[in-house]
Amino acid sequence: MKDEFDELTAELARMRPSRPCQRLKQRIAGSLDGEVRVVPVRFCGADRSWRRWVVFAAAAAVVILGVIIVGRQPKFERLAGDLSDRVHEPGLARDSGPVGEADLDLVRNANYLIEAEDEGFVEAPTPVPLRKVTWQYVSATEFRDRRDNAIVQVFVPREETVLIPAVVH
Amino acid sequence: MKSRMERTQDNGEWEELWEEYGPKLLLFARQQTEHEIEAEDIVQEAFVRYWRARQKQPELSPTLLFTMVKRVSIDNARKTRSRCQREIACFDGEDGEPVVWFDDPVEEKERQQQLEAALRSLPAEQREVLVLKIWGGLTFEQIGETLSISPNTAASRYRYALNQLRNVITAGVV
Repeated sequence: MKDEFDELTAELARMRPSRPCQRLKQRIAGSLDGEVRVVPVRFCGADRSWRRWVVFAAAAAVVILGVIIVGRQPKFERLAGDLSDRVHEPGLARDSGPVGEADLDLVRNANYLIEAEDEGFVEAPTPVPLRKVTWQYVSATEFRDRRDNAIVQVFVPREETVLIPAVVH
Repeated sequence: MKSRMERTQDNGEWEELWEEYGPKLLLFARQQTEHEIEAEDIVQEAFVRYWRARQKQPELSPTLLFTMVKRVSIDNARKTRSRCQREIACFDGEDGEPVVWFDDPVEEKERQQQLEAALRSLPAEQREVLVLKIWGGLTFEQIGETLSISPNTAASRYRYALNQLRNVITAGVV
């Protein structure tokens, strides 16, 4: 049975939705590989700000604990010394030491979103109003020593503040 | 833990699914938000959620992808919106032009642009039904499940949409 809209729907169906950009495919591939963990963004008001500090204190404690453990192990002392030599005297070749750069494999690199806070509108010379948003992350990097499978974890808290065009309806 | 071969097979499968559904999902996500970056975020999260669920339940239908997109977009709308600074460049399209929803055809380019403009002028609730029906290939029953409406409502919104689309094109408003 012929429908009055047959011609129109056929015409519409001939239109091909545009292909997503390659960047989106790469983001999905990254998420599926587990390289980047997707953490739902949760915004909160000032009444929850204490939670942020608890989390940051915990993250800082982990970093301090890591430093203490590494500091107690001679092998890591040599590694730390070796790396600091590289920083201060980049032109010098490494003299000796059982642990070198090539012995560490990057195992995992992830960003954990700890907190996201909407700080409201800000004034700026732009055509649209802007909103200030602050995100707190902990970047976690894990290395493995090929020789003895020792794991080295580095946690770095970081904060990112961005201005986002606000939607005004 | 999965072997490298299993992971490669998984990759091949999801890429195959992505090739088929990626453009349709993005078009549907664009009906949920005005912002291109947000539409991409929605598609990413929906696709990843669906794929992970499918690892546990291989029988899951791909049409569920559209439901995932709808749910994620509703979740996002409930939260305070989160978009990063890259959106400043993509706010409307990098050169200030709206993002084009359909690939440019070699023939009938002007007509297609007219149809796309007419489509954009429809109310969102009609537009999303039209997108799911025509480009998503869903039945009215599936559309009803995706949008949490009855199949009859989906069908009537579809008819309204086509009618309005025809009127807009005939009147030459766009």
